[in-house]
Parts: sequence; C-alpha cells; structure tokens
Amino acid sequence: MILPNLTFDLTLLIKLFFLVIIGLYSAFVLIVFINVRSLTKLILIKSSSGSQLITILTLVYLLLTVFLFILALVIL
Amino acid sequence: MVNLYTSDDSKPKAKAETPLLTTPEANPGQVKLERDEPHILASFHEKPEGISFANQDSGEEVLLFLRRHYITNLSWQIATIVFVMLPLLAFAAFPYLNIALPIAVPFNYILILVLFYYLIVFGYAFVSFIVWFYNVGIISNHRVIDIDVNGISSKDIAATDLKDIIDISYKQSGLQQNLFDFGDVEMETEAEKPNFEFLSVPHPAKVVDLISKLNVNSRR
Repeated sequence: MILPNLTFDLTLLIKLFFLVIIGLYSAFVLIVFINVRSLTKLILIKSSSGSQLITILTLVYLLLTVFLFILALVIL
Repeated sequence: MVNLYTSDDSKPKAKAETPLLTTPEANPGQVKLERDEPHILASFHEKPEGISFANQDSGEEVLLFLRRHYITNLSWQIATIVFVMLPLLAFAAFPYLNIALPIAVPFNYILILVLFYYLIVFGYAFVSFIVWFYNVGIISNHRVIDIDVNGISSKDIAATDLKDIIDISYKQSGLQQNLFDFGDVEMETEAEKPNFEFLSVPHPAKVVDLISKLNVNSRR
C-alpha cells in the first residue's frame, strides 16, 4: 500500500490558522449584529437617526469582517 | 345579610386623576421639565423627543432619559488610541531596532495580520460604544426602567412602578464624579427585585429630586 507523502507545510498551516481565526471572528461579529438589532428594537432613538446610525455601523463592521475573510482566502 | 346592591353614594369615589406634571404655579411641589432637543451622545435628556421603548403604553411619556456620563468612556477611548498607534510605532521603529526575524514573512501575511488587528481594535471600540449607548435608564410618567447591557450578548431589563419606590438616594465619590457632576442613583422598591441602580448618571441630585416628586404624586 502506498501512503500519501505527508510533509510539514508551514505555509499551509499558517493559512489555515488565519482562515479559522477570521472565520471565528466573523461568527462573533454576526452575534454582535444580531444583538444590536434586538437592542435597536428595544429602545428606539430617533434623535439624529441614533438607532439607524448604529445599525448602519454594525452592518459596516459585519461587511468589513466578511471582506477581510474573502481577502484572506484570495491573497494567502 | 350580605348587601348585593349598594347605592352609588356609598361606593368609594374613584380617585381623581392627578397630573404628574403641572405648572409650578398650580403646585409648587410639582416637577418642571423643559423639552430637550436630544443629541446622540448626550447622557441626560429631559422630556426627550423621538425616544421610545418597547412595551411603551399609550399615554406614557418619557420624562427623563439617562446614560452613564460621557466621561466614563474615556478609558476605552484612550485604550483604542493606544491600540491604533501601536502598529504604526512598531513599523516606524522596526528599521532602527536591527531585529532579524527567524523566517521571512511574506507581505500578504503581514497585510492580513495588520488588517485583522485593526478590525479587532474597531470591534473593541464599537462594542464598548454600544454597551454605553444602550445602557440606559428611562423615567416615564408611570414607571422607572433600567436597561443594563453587560457585554454584547447579555442584557438585563427591569421596570418598576413609580409608586413602588420606597427609598431613593444618590452617591458621589471621588474627584472625577464631583468635578463632572455625576454619580450613582439607587432606588429601593417593595418588590423582591434587588434595588434599581442608575450608575454614573449626570446630575444625580436632579434625578433623585424628579423621581421623589413623581413618586409622591403617584401615591396621591
């Protein structure tokens, strides 16, 4: 039986490490997004579009994280 | 013999509705609040316009909207500035330090690492801001509502009728609290629920005064 040639690939290991960490962080950001939405429903602050601004900021935060995850997938 | 019917005269008269807020001329002990134009970062709104909360009754009006004093955000804001500056300082100082890395790190990895670092810093600042922004106390003409956001996934919401408050006090300690006029307002209720607390709110004396007057009015 021929076994596959298993060699220690540091680069691949680092790539996987980065992707797992950023993936886990994306999950955290998703939790933040869901919780902020529930808080926005709890207290509605119309002053200077308060609640709306917070929702937009959270969405930007989520999109930035997803963008970084995709960037890491592409360039690493 | 049990009286099944009683005359209207013998029935206890319904208590006349006492307005909680009237003009000071009508009753010197009443509360006078001025309508406040709310600002997104303000921590003390009197009769704020455009602020409402879930399960708000019809006819229920928000009289006071409180957050922790803005100065309490200083610690995380300074920490964020330091975290933002750290990589810049490291990159600036690196050529002068003559440190040789054991392995050559490709530029791609450094780029992703730095971007990820800044995303975490942004996340830290954003979550700290959200916790401050939604950690609020609301005093309406019917009740007191305390919303505590402890971290991003935990919130504690408590409400009590104004008439259930049996004791109210405030505490100011330290130079910072006295200098910027903020402190902790504590309310004791008849219920089993532990005491209500509005921590580090601006003008605590004014808050205590308002709640005391509303409490007295609600018991009439």
